[in-house]
Amino acid sequence: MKTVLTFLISISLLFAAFTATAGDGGGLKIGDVAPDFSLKNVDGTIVSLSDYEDANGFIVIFSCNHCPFVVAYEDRMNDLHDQYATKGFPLIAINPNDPELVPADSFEKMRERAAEKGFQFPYLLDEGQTVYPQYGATRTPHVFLLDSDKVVRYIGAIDDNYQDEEGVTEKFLENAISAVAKGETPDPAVTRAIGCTIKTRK
Amino acid sequence: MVRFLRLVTIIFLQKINALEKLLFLLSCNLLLFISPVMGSMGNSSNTAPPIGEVKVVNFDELEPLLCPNPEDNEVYIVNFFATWCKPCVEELPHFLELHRKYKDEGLHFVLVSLDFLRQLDSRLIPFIGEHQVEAEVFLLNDPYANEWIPKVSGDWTGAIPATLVCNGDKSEFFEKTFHSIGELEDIIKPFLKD
Repeated sequence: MKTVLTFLISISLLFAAFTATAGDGGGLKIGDVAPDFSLKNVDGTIVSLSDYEDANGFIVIFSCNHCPFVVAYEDRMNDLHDQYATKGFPLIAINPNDPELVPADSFEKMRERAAEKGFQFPYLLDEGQTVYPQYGATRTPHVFLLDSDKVVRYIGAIDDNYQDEEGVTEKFLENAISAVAKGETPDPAVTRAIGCTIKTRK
Repeated sequence: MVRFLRLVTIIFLQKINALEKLLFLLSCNLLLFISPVMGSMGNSSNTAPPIGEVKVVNFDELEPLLCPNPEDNEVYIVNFFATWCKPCVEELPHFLELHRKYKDEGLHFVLVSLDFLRQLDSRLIPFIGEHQVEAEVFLLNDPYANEWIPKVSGDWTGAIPATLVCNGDKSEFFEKTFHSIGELEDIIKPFLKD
């Protein structure tokens, strides 16, 4: 009996392990409540979602220094912050990479990059890599738009053209923010984009 | 080299009269016609393009080439990568080794680069030469990734490296890094004929 039980448990664990790694499963889905976090910002402070008491929502972007797809979006991230922070949608960037694997993504290098690009938004390090798996981020950049109750309303790309801002035909994230601000459902609620895989030893 | 020849040709054409020009161009065309035939004579089993050749395509152009000729029952392994993507560069030698080992059993290797077009000459082409990449190499220059990622696989979130194996109507997709030729052999064996 005991062996049967052990067998069943290991089978179900195996199954759980597989489902957790398959595709974008295992993380947050549209309608889920996003977990809060307390992570170190490049300015030395600790930032949490709960710090923003009057927020209408949150633009959480898993980001980093080294990835060319992120670099292509840095100016657009600055613009998004300028445009939406005052409307109650703060932008929060989180670097999920293990700095030991990617020295360019160390906390010190994050500080340098934030200064170079003049980031006015928090740029946090997911120290110990505990936050990105809860969100189900798989790449950088990877956007999660939350509403004021921290409910996930949009997951995906900032817009539909990473190469060239001029060539953008659909501003997925901005459209989603407008929808949330009006109490509507973003459409599309999920988009995909090419990005750099998150670097982890786990 | 091609650029150099083109330049020499232009200079040469400026120096000669019209009739000679016509004869020259005719002979050039003849040469172009003959050379691939001659090239294949001593090397009949190898149909791979010359190392260093990269075709720039959008997704509509790439899609039919990802798993062509489903009726011929050959196996295609397609790797999506970029020269700046560290895990991609690290896994590439395993793909090259796999291809060398199984090409006679009908395995084709297709490498799809997501490098930026402006880095084609400065990064991608030198990289392909340096790593002696014997494969069909494409630069997928199509920024509207939300449109084409699901056409490659419904399971792809968009992170690279990513790999597709296909054989006729059968295909399997992997959003992961491969660490050995053994791991790759495990995924292609079910596709190869006995």
